[in-house]
Amino acid sequence: QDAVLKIHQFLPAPAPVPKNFIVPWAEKVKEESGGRIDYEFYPSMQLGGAPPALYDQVRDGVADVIWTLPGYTPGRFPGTEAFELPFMPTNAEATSQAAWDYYEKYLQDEFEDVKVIAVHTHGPGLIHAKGDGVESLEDLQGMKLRGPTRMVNKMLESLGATPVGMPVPAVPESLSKGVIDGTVIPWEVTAPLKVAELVDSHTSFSGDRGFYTSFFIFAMNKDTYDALPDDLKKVIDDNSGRETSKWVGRVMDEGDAPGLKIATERGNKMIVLDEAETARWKEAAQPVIDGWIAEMNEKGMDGQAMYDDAKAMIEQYSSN
Amino acid sequence: MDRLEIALVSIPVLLGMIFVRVPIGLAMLLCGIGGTVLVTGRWVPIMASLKSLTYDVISNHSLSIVPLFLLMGQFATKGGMSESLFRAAAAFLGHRRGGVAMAGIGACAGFGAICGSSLATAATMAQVALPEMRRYGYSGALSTGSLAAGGTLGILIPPSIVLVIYAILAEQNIVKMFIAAIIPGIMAAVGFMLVVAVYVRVNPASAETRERVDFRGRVRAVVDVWPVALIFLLVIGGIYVGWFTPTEAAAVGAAGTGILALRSGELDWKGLKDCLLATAVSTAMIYFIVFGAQVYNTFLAFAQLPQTSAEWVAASGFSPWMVLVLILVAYLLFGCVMDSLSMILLTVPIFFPLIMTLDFGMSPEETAIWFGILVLVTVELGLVTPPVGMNIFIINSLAPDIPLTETYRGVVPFLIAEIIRIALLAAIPAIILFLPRMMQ
Amino acid sequence: MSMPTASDQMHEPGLSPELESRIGRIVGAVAAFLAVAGGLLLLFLVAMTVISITGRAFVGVFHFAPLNRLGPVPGDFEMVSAGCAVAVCAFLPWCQYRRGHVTVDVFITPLSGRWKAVLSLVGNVLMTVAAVLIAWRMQLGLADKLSYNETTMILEMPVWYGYAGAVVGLWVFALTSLYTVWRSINEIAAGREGP
Ligand code: NA
Ligand code: NA
Repeated sequence: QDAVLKIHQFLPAPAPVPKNFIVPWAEKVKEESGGRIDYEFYPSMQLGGAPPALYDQVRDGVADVIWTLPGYTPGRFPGTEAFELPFMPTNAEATSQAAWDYYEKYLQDEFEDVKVIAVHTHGPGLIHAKGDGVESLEDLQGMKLRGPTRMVNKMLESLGATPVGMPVPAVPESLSKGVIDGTVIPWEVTAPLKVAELVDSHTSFSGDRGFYTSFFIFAMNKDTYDALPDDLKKVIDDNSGRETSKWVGRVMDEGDAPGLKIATERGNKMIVLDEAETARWKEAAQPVIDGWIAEMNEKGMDGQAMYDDAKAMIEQYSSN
Repeated sequence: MDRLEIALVSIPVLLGMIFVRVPIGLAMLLCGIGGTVLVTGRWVPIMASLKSLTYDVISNHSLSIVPLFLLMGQFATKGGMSESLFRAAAAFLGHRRGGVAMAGIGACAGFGAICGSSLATAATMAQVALPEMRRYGYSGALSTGSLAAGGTLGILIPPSIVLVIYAILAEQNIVKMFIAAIIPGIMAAVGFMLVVAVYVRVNPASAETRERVDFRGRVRAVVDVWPVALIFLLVIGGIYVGWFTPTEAAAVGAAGTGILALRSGELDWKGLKDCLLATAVSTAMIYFIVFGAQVYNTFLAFAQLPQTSAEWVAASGFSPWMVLVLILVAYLLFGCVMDSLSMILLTVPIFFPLIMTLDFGMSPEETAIWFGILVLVTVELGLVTPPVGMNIFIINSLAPDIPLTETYRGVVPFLIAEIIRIALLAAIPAIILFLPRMMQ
Repeated sequence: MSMPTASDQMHEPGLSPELESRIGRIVGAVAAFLAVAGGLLLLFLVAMTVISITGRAFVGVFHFAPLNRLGPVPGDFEMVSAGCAVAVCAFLPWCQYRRGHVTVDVFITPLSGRWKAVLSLVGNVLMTVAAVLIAWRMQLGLADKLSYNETTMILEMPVWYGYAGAVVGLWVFALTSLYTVWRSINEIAAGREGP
């Protein structure tokens, strides 16, 4: 045996990505290496720390492989936020492949401390709300919504909602008690958090673009990778890249199905905003995009090009 | 040594350090660091981890309930709320045989409803109730024993800091844990009063009776106590109906008791400083243990002890109930020498995953709530078990004329009642789960 | 630490006990000052949270300016987290100075005061080592946060603010622990433990 990879991440083991991607990925690597790369799986932050610490843990060698959201550490990976801008994503499988291409073009510097295995997004996020539901921009005014990342909270604010920041575990409790009126998340997360049981309506949008998504990274410690003999490096390389990113994206898309099913079976109100209304939302959210581009320009990056490229890359994989 | 052996050896090393009076949090921290280095064979993982781990623990939002509830308890103590509680309870119970002791227990329950700590409850109520019991000729054993037991209501009745820590460790809903503790807490209060009633029948010389308070006196006493009731309703009721999250509720409670203390005139700059300094000591003490436990648990995870012990139990063929009884007995034994919070922090990461792999015929969430309350009541018993029972020490230090052995003797009947209660709660999970089920 | 002077050795045994008690008063005052400051920070968080809850309750109640702008304090959760982190570290020196950490004393009750003081010395030396280690590592963490411009989610407040506040408390904690080592040495010499 040449290596035992300590894999660390924040979700419980039965969640879709750990169950259908991370562990199968590790098994695949084990098999293709003839058992020479084994692994130990540590779900639910068992090796200590809060989820935002995961990136440093893999950089510093506390763990060998991690899965996390760069958005947990706002300001540190600004380039990834292109994918978190309003109305960027299509399905996760296509968007994740685009994310890989975008990573290769723009994010190598941001992630230079680690060996990136895959980058991906979740499926399109939507609004899950109590009460009559969000059928127009007006319904959103003053609504207390919980958003997951810096960009999403900015978007909610610019749309007129009151963003409420809180840790994810507090969401079900706060929903059931009316501390918040709703939350934005993809279907995939609604099942484990039992969100469908706590809200009355789900709002999605017309057209091929989803409301928002979040950017994820699956990465390996550089020293761990460098210490492998060449044939084992190749096993890791073979299991990295666009195809691997596509795989996680597909798992995310498949993970959406049970959440949607539960909500449908409960008879929750399914709202799809028509094209005219969707266009109003896009217009209202435009300042967030402009603001991000300006921010990137200030940092000496070409914000407009990054935004346009991300959009075009998503388009390319979505049209196939 | 393989890593499992390292983990197993670490336990006697840890206990050894604790028993020669190394602070518990420090012992866990050092064993955790040393163990992780041995298990991983490198300094890097733990050293790199420590760059952010400390901050991650101290900035944990759920944990910030702890200093806020501690502050709330300090203000409640300062504001003289203990006195009005005791007067109200005594107005209704005082004339019975053993009634002053019963009133002390009732007032402890009331104070426990606005204070998250057992020691604070015991100490505060003792200052009010002890002189009264002595005046009516209560024996040293009965007066100190009943208050030491009554003090445990501070953590049995929500809010409860020990329960907060359990909920964080076991990733359970704090609100449901609080709600689940209500019925067992009331059972404890009633049980303690019954013990007093029996005790004074068996030993009639141990207490004199007090004159009955008339109706007007009772009304006045109840009116006096309304702010306390209001704060309890605001804090626990507010969480329950959803005005705020538990952390926010703790802030509301601290603000409420703070205003009452201000109104009582006790909260001048010096009084405020006293409250803040006392909060500082308890908060730092608790966070340091939490932090040490975090590091020690990281080491146990690296050593894969929780998984291995679960596999071992599964292979041993013990029935789930057998495992539960063994764990509770272990808590009882450890409770004789350790304090409750340290015990929870030390053991829940090992025992909780183990319990969750066993089938008690309940949903995982219900099992987690039920086990949490059982752990709570069992470790709480450790506060009143000789030789090391923090409540015993506190109460006894407030009654210098009563020898420690007499207090030890005084708590024994209460211990018996408690063991019966634990057996009931374990055998009939519905007692604990009734209220949380109503929340669905 | 200065060498014991002749006058010290004439009065009491130990390592400059008079100087130690003078330094001890300064250490205690600094620790108490930090603890009260941390406590006031806690009070600020209490007030902010109550205001935030009140504001949140009035979202959408009024439809005219300026009351239609009522809402929760932005980033209230983030302020509570960071504020508590700083407060806890400000509390640690006082807890150490006041011998506030939880210990199990039952097995050492038969020991003489001198031997108890020896055990305290061991505990305080270990505490000093741990405190220096924690402070040092967190300072490296602070450097990380500084260089990465990491911010909080809603307020976009730099994360290093919280780290910086906490690190100050931790270094004072380390110094306080070092002082308690000195105090323990003198208690061994005196053959009894302090209060
Ligand atoms: Na309580
Ligand atoms: Na005990």
